Amino acid sequence: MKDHDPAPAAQKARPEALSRRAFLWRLAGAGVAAAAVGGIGLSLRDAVGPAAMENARALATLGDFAVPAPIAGKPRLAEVHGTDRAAMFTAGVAALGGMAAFVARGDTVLLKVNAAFAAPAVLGATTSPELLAAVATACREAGASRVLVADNPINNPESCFEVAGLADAARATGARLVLPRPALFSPLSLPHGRLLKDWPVFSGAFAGVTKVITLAPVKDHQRAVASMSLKNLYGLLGGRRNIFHQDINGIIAELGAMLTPTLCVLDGTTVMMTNGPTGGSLSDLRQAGVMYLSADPVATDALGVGLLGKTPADLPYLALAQAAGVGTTDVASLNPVTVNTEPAAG
Amino acid sequence: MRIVVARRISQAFFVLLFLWFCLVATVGDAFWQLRGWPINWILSLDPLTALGVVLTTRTLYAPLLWAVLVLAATFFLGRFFCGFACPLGALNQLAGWLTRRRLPTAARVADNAPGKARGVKYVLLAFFLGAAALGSLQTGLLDPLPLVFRSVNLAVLPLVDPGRFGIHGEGRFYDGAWVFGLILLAILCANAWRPRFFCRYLCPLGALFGLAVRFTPWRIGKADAKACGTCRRCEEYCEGGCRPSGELVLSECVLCMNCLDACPTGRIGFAARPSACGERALPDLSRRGVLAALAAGALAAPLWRVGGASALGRDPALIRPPGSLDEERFLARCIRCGQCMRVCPSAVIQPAVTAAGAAGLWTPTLNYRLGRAGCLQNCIACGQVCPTAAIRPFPLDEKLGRGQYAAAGPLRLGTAFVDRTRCLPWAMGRPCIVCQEVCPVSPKAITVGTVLEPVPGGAVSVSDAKGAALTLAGAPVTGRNLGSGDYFLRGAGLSDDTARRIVSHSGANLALEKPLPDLGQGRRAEIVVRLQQPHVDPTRCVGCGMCEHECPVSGLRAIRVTSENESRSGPGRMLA
Amino acid sequence: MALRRLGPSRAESAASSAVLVLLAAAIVWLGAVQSRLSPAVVVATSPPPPAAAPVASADGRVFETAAFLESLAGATPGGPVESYDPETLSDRIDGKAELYLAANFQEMSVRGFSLPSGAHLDVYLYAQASPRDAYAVLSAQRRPGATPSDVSPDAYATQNALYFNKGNHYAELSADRADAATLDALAQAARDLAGRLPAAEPAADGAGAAPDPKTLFPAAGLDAASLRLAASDAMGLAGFSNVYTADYAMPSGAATAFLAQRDTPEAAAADAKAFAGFLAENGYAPQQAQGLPQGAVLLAAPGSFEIIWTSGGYVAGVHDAVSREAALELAAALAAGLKDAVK
Repeated sequence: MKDHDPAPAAQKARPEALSRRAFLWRLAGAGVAAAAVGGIGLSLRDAVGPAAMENARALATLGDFAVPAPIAGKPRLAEVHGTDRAAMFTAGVAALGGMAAFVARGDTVLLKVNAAFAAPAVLGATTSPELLAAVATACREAGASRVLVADNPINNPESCFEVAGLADAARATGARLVLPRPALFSPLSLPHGRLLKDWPVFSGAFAGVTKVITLAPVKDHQRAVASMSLKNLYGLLGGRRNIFHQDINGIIAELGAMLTPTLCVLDGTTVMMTNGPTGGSLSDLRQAGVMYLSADPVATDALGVGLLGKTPADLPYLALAQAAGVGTTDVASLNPVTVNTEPAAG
Repeated sequence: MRIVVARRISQAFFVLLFLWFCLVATVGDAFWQLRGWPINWILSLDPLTALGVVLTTRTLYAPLLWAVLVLAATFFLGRFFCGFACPLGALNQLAGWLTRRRLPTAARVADNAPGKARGVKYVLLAFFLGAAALGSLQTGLLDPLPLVFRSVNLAVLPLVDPGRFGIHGEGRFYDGAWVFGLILLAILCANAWRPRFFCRYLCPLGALFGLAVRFTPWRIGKADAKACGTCRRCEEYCEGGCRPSGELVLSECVLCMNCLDACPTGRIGFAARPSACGERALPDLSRRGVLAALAAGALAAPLWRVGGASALGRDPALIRPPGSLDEERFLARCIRCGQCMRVCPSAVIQPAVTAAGAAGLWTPTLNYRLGRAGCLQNCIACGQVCPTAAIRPFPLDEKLGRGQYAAAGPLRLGTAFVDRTRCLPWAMGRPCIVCQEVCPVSPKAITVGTVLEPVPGGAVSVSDAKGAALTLAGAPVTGRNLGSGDYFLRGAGLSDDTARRIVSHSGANLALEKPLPDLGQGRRAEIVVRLQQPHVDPTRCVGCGMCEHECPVSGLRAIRVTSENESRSGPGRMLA
Repeated sequence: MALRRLGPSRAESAASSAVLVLLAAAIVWLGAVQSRLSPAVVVATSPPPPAAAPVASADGRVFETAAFLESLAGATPGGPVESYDPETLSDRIDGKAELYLAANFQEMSVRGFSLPSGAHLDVYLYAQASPRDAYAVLSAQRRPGATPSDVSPDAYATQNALYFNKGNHYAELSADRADAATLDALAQAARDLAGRLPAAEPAADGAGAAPDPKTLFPAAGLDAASLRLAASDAMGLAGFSNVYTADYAMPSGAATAFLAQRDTPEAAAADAKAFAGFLAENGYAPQQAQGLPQGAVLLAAPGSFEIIWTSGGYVAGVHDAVSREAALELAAALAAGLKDAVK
């Protein structure tokens, strides 16, 4: 296709030359634009169409943070009696080989607290701030470079940590709160898991973490009978996790398989006996004065349930978790030791 | 052959092809059915759809590469698509020609003068691209190709469907079809006021093409500026209104070639030189207007998200077709062309008017009342026809959860819930259980619990019994057909095991299938109805809606599907 | 210079031709593409997936009845064999499944065939636990007005279908037409199937050498088509199972004879007592009568007479006779035949 007019007179030669140059420029411009569009189109080409689900890549577990078990015959579970949580924790850890057995110099320690509700510490619905402060301090003294505190509470996270006094305790001891944000969750599919399939978990809190210590109170729980070390891990789930209440024992057992902590501290100094897991009244509480420490959450829970006046048989998840290899309900096999921090009071 | 004749042939070809593609969007293997007709080909030629999807997804679904070809050709030739191919453009041109035949030349020329209002379409384009850049694809609302497909699929063809062409024997209903029909009518009528009104002022695709023609090496133009400018015949039928007699507005030329054909001197040509009377790339544009629209579009997407309509606050009645992506990604791709709604053999896919929120206007949702059935088990048509894979092209095995998809289970659209306050066996003591019968899942997702309930007015006393033939003290007044097999006689105070089926009934005489056990003193008995009450097993229910469609409680159905447990939402399902 | 152009220039004609060539190319391309069927069309036009097959293959069960339907003489298979187990049977024959399940249903396979006459033939092949169970499902649904068929001793045919039992199998062949050519082809297919089905093993029924109860009914007045085996809940009595019944038209009125075989005389006596008790509960009163079989009781309600007795391992009786005479007459005839069987 070209101009049908014959070439104009000779005096127009110059404008025509100009026009030809302009044409070549335009041709080049169109060519570049077409090539760019074609190139971008081809480079973005998606021949197969979108996948059914994004983030198809899922984690298998949150990690195994266990330290090597002590040599045979040494105690692997401590039962501490007393009233001062800091002293109880110190005595319990000492009985298990000292803090150095769990936290080494340069470790980044994640403290998984129970901050589920925006309730004052005195109501016992959350991990005690005194215990958090004691553990965080102990980690620091053992040489941990960073101490993180995390939970995905049911109520608004900021207010949960503030109201429960956990934020203050963390600030006072130099620990850093990791509050849940959508970006910190990624899907996890537990191998052979039945419930934890493509489920968002709080994996962002584990970035760089080398040790995990769980700090759980002993509480009555309407659906699960009791909320202790294993149930505390529920706070690592995201999404609409309450669908798991349809199979609470199944999910608690799978939570144990999802994460292997370094140490579990089950705090029965004050026990919520009724109206759990929220409580709300001091009359729901009982001063039991016991703390259990072990790397085995099944064992701490098997003992802790006794503080609620119930037996391990009342917690079907214990058998499920034991069958899944999470831990043992045979506490005697862990060579438990009992420590009294206040002999006079005891 | 003159180029305008070739242009008319090309336009006729594309209009007929477009109508053909709408017509054959019916699942079947006859030549006038879907077969292998590439019914999305015209939609795939659309660079605005392609650009929008690239902006929202950062990928280009392979069939949309056609649009790259169109855009690349536009860089060299100009808006050939508007002049030669666009079916809506051709319909506009035809409508304009028909309604303006009797106008005098001067009036025609005046109507074709460029004006400021031409800038509106660039403003609209800026809005759509702004929204797309932040994840919300809204181009389909005004993009002429989805618009014309949607209008014809959902408003025009349903008008002529029933019993014609042997395609759809029954009528098809589409929610809010009148809006589509009136919009198309308004677009066509506007041509009486200005030729190609939509193309000139509103078309965002035209605006995109207009931006792409800046470097066209070949273009319409005058060979020299002398001794011209009086007859204006080149502008009498100028479809784009690009002022070929004077300073040419390059972006507005739709390559109708009427000027070239009309010029008595042959001065106007399609040539490799700028127009002798000067050129400008774009009409007068309010830069501020364009920037404001861009910003408004970019703000609209996050604002819609704040509204929550696509996530937590979603209407549970929004049930997307099988294979649909999760809501966020779905809205990043759907252009509301209506292809899925047209091809659905059940006509159960409907344009969402309110269910999907403002950002999801006219996107597909399933309405089991308007459709002719639920979502058919043996059908994958919607995924195959979606031009942008907002509904993925899923295989049948995936839909049914067979073969390699056995572990994932079937594609679930939602879950059926029984409304016990409306269900006949639950609320009104009437046998029914249609929902259980039509449940296509195997084993069935609807199970029944059987109960015997006393019938009002069914307390009787037996005056004589001869084996299984009873005579009652008085004829029971229940208003029911007691001999229908659903009614039983049970001794007063006795257990359900002792109830005996009533085989026939006339007046005070009842025949039972077996004799009653001894009723003792008084011989009091009651007529009970055997009710099968439906229960939904949520682990089996796929939300296909067969039950809801067939439920005899025809208004607000007594069993209804809502989107809970739908596969596309991933975690956050209803069941552990 | 300013001349009205008379025709298109060469370049214009070339451009027009190019447009037309592109359109022609598009048409050719469309023609080629449309013949490659969309997966949606392929799915919609292929036969629906067998609903129960995945369930069956999931537990890895192999259906022995399916093998018999691989082919059928004179018929062309029109689809895959579908098989059902007790769990899934009601998916296929909702409403009637109970009848089969009560008679120890094992499995069923079904397949569609087409016959040379153009008729469509559905063949259902059921496997029950024992030949007696197969007979029970056959006799329980014998169609009124059916004619006996020579395919097996108890086989019968209707206008468009044929039903027979062999060994522990029960087969239904039903065509969608009733013309002579179809019936011939149907009978041929049935004989082919019957020929391939295994016969009952002689001692498999646990009945030992005792004669088949259904041969013990007296011939006089017998309506042969009414002979039935009730697998369970015979005559309305829950738990009264495996009872043969036959209707009689006697000069003195209609009556039904029944006969059931039990492992021991004690079991037979217990069943007889239970049935008598059931009748008494329903308003029947004992009456004295002459000429009753040994140990028999006569129970009567207005217009209905029942006689029950036992003979060795048999429970025998007359059910719902319209008159006392008919009851006594039929009881005497049945008792006479029974005496020869029980030695």
